[in-house]
Amino acid sequence: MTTGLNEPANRLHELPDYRPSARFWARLGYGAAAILFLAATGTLQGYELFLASSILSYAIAAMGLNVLMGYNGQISLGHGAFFAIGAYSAAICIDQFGMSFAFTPIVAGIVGMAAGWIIGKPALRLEGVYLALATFGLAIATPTILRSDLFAQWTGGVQGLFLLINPAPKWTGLDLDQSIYLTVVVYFLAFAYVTLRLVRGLNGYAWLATRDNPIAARAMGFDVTKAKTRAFVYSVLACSVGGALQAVAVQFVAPDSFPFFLSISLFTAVVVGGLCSPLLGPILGSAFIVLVPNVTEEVWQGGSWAVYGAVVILVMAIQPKGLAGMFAWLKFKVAGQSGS
Amino acid sequence: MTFFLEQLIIGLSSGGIYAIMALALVVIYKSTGHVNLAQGELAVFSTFIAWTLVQMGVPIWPAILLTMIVSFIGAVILERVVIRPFDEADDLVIVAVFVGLFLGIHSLAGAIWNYEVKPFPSAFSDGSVQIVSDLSIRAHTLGSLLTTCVVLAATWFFFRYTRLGLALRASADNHESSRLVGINVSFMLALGWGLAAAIGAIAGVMIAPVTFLDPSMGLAPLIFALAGALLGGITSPFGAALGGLIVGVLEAMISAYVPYGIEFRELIALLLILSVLLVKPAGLFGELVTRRV
Amino acid sequence: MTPALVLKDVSATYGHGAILHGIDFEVPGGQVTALLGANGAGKTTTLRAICGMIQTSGEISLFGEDICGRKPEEIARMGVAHVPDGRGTFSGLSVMDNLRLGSFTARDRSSFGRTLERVFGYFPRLEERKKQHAGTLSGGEQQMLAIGRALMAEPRLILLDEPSIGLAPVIVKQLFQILEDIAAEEGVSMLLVEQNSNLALKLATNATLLEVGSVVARGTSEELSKNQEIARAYLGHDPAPTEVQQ
Repeated sequence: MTTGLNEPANRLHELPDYRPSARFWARLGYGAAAILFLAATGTLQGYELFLASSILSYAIAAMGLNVLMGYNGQISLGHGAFFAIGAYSAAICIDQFGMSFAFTPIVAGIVGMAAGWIIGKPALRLEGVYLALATFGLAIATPTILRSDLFAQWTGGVQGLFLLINPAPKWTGLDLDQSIYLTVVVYFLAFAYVTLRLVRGLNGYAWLATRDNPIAARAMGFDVTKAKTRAFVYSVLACSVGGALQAVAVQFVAPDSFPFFLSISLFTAVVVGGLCSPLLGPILGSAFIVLVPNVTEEVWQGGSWAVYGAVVILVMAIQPKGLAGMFAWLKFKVAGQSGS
Repeated sequence: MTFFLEQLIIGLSSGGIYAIMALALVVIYKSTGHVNLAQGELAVFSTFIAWTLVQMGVPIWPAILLTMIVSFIGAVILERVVIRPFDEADDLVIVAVFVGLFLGIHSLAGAIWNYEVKPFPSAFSDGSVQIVSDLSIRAHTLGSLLTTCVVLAATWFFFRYTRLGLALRASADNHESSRLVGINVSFMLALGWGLAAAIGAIAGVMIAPVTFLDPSMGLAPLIFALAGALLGGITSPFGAALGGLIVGVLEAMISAYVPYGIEFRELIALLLILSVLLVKPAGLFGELVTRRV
Repeated sequence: MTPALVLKDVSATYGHGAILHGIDFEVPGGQVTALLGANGAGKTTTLRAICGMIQTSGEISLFGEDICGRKPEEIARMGVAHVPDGRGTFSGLSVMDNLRLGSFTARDRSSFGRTLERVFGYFPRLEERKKQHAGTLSGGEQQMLAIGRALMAEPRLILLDEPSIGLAPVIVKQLFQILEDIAAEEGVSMLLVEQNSNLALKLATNATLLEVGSVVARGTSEELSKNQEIARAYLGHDPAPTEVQQ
């Protein structure tokens, strides 16, 4: 295992294996995983389905944020804001317009992107720590805006909104939890596919080039601004959709559901899961942020933050590729095959 | 008119607190090049220590002094153990470490002292002071303002006129040359953190009597201090202090005169941060650090 | 008199490869020694090795005391003042603060005023600009400040890294005249790294020539100024007889 203390982030990326045989097995693997996820609808029960829905919702958000932070190197401590925007968009659609829950993530995504465009324009001109600071401010400001009486008419103010969600039609035989879960899985698979296509394609290279050396990238003909914008917009889209799905899963939104710590949790999910791991990292990372509180909150209230904090620092010190990196390392040791 | 003056003084008072927190941010930024995102949490932790001392019967001012010393030592250890190993790392890694630090300190405070909101005694008397005919200000507000002025003056004096202050400034300016003139730069980095923590402790014990003490107390002040530091220039102690005062007054005025103003205070701070970073990242008095390819 | 500096079999690396390969030379006490060589010969590396800024092996003695492996701040406190390449001024601080920092390690604090007067005597321009930010000074003035700062430390040994670099010839001439005065009046030992070998050899009493990290010639200035090796090292070919005698 390489020590990570001073390893630059730009060494985190490894090229995927493009040999035809490797691709065949990879595709088979993805297909099998997809079927597994779908099949779980039938095998998991109530609360487990809820957990799974949460994990996958956060995973979608993490996928987007990973594109922004891992591939494009922009630091955001404030994506909880977009998660919240997505959640509230979905909530308002259901509450005010009676929309079927399955379509709300689409609306949420559009609204989110609009917000992302407004916030992104100034944000994209900032770099490194400055962007981190600005987004830090965004994360702190978000709950106060949500709590505001000014918007209470739509947002339900401090008390929030309870969402009335109707399960799938009777003929499908699915109960509420199952309906929700299945919807989440469909969106998740769609995002997984899109993310992989993006990062493995020209966009991925553009993002990496502009991350590692924007000046050289520009000299080589990459449109740096466009690349940064695309990464940002994608991350916002993913977070909004993730937020919408999570709101549906929980069936409730309130300002207190989107505190400053939500942004930090998303950040943690990406860092712990593994920067630059487009799919496995987000899944592992979101599993981390969903399951850890479940375990620790019973023993120690507020302790999950400590675990997040300690793990983040440890990951940075020992293995910056995060859980996905450790997984790959294990695979290397066990299978003994070379990656790239 | 009286109302305006009252709000102005309140604004200056909270501005003073933001000013000294901004100063703490500047001290660390100047000596190590990092923005200490955990500054607020450190201040809160210190305040909890002060609270414990007061509970044990220590009078408030000695408690504050003791807290400053303990905070100083704690921060030095923190810098050596957690921050120093990541000195050369990428932006993203450093931000992650600070986030981790933030979370860790926050949780530790919650673990040791739980999340119940606690009252914290003011270092000054509980009453009000009458200034002119119908203008009276709470003693704490005035005392707080006075204290922060003293801290600002003391810090200025320290940096300007003491040998150690000169060494700290030199170390912040140029590591290599500092070593060549015999300064132990490693010690200076730790000293910067220690000072910042001690200053932050004072900020904490000034805030707590007003907002009550709980682990999340430090979030809002941090964002205002950050806005102030950026506005004034994160490389300029004087600028940051001025920035903090401006932010404090702005906050008070907006809360008092703008409808829904109170709810959007943090948003205003955010917008301020954004504006400064976009228009003049160096702030009013700071210097821009140019980037070499 | 004990030599100010003795280097024996000193090798140094920057981590990837060795830059200095077992060099030996001496800096006699109270005299100016020049360290010459083309770009990349290892001159600056040698100074950094002496100051403890890079990984070094071998023996380095300062007036008889071994300093190899010690930290830069320790070596500075032992009376070594290094004027690095690029001046190394504290550009955010005032001229006066820069000078004060020079005497940071001075053992006798009360002599600050007198030393300051001497420095202002050599460099009156610095006194004129004492309140200015060092970063606003011209290149020549910054070089003067760097040397002034070194003098404030009342050092036993001054290391000068390429003081002439980037300066107009007229300024360089002035500067070297002042260095001559300093060498004569202060009695401090100096190790001067210079690409401009003519100037260096005029000022110095002894010289050492480096080529790609090894010593290729050594002797008095007079010997070296007639030496073919220098010309070859710098010009890349054997010189005509007239070229060497400047």
